[in-house]
Amino acid sequence: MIKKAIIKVLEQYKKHISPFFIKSCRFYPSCSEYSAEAIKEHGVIKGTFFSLWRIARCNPFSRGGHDPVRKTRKEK
Amino acid sequence: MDKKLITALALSLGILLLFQAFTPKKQSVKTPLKRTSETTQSFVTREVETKKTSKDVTAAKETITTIETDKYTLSFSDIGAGIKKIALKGFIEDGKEHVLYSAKEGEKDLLVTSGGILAGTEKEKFTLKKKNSAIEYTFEEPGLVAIKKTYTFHNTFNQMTLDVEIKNLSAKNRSLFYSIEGPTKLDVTTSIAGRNFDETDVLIDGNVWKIKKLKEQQEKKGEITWVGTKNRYFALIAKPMEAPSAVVATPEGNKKISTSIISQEYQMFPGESIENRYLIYAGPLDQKNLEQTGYQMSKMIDYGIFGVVSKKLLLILRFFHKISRNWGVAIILLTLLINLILFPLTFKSFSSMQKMKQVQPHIQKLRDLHKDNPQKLNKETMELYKQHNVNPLGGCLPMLLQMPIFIALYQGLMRSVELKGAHFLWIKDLAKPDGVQIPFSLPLLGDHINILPLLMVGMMVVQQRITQAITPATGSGEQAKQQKTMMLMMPIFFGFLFYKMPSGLVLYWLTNTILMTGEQAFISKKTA
Repeated sequence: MIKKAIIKVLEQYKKHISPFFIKSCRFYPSCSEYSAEAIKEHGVIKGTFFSLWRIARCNPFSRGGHDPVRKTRKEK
Repeated sequence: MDKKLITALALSLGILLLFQAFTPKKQSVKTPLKRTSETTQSFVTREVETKKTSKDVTAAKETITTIETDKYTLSFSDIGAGIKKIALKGFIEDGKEHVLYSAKEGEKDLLVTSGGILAGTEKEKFTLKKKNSAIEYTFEEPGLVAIKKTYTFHNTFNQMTLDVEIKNLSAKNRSLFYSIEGPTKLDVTTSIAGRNFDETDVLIDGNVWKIKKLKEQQEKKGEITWVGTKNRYFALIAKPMEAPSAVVATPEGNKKISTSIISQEYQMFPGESIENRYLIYAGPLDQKNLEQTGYQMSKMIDYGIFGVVSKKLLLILRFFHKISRNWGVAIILLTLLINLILFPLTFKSFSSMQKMKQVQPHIQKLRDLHKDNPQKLNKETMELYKQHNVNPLGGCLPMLLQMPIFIALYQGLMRSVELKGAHFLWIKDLAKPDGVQIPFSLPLLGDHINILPLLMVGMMVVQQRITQAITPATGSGEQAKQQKTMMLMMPIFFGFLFYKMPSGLVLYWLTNTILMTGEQAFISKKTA
């Protein structure tokens, strides 16, 4: 429930709010896409943690670039 | 217009409407207050209320006594021995002392005692005796009860105390409880940008019971530390020194909320008396004064979720004011400081920018290659940046960091009494929109325009132009075009949002935008 709601909010943000701002994310996928995916993949608690860590890394000191969400091992 | 733009428009309009819906409508201070009908009678018998209307009170020759201290002018009434009016000396409004509290016709005076065996005494004439830094009101009903109320004033603090002494004059044991009129909504409802700051707070069992709206009378029992009411800048707090038993909040007409503090029940032998003390704070709602008064009164200050940041920022702001002696300059200095702290981040972007030139041809190649697949293009571009260790984008963190700072400053500046009436350049009051008179009247805006928010919108457009020039466009031509239109909406949206905001806050955002634009212009020169 919460998981779906958060993902929905993130998707809506990406679709409707983000275009207003100057593009600033240094990564692919962008922070919002990454967060939605991380929560989908790892659940709310772990996913949020991953997202926050990603946002913290998204600053001019990081290299940026391609940085996909790590897959859980079980799913292999 | 395409679909996306329409949804975006609708969404922003929705946010605006939502914003309006959640903030109470602005109340005009000038409209005469509706007579509050006596619908509630917490501890007052109805007979007494109806027998003597306010006209009868004047017939009973109410004598108003005015006391002046360094901090305020107080008006006392001998009918019920309560406070009719509190005017603060340090704060001048339209050439007059700022009236913090005044009892309107039909309203009970502050600190009037009634209820229990004191029922009806609130309509009686008390005898006044002036003392050195105190006044004493006495009333006696032979064979029943004697009341003595002593107000003691402090010259240097925004405080006073009230001692209530009640003596059992009857020949039998009596149980006594009484109620005392606590703070009601303050006089000037300083609402701005559709926000109303009026609130009644009760610190009960260690938690603040916040009352913004009240449908019906509510009583709460518990350990009551204080009962207070506040508006945007000021607070009126009553602190009972002896634990009361309950507090009653009553909705009056016109969105007013009155409170009464109910004493505990005392058993009194014939001739025995009890004494209760109340500490009254009436003054600005600021950290320094409230902390000085103690009793956790500073809990009345609420800057919201980023309260800690707000307090720190205000501390720095006050320091800059001490140096510059001007609040406008202090705000600009604070903006400079915030930008300086974030400078390592922007500086890093500078150096990255210079390397951009080397990768530019590669990007062009990629663009031609993945013309029809913007996602792939995005990914490849990012990969390329990583390889060459360059990145023209600032990142999400600096963007997000701005947000709590902005919210914290917004909350802090909104409630800083120091900004009230502070001049800066053409701005007459940093706590209000800058409203410059123009010789003609414009539709919607009227004959005053706020220059500062308009300047801000202009600056934001300039900033976007420059950033767009240095940020490599991703996606196809059509998409890029669409993005450009969308981005134009941003300054317009901000303009709407900021138009009625206090100019101090707009000044912060304007300075911030100018600084960022300057930095970006510098970058673009380097990369050109």
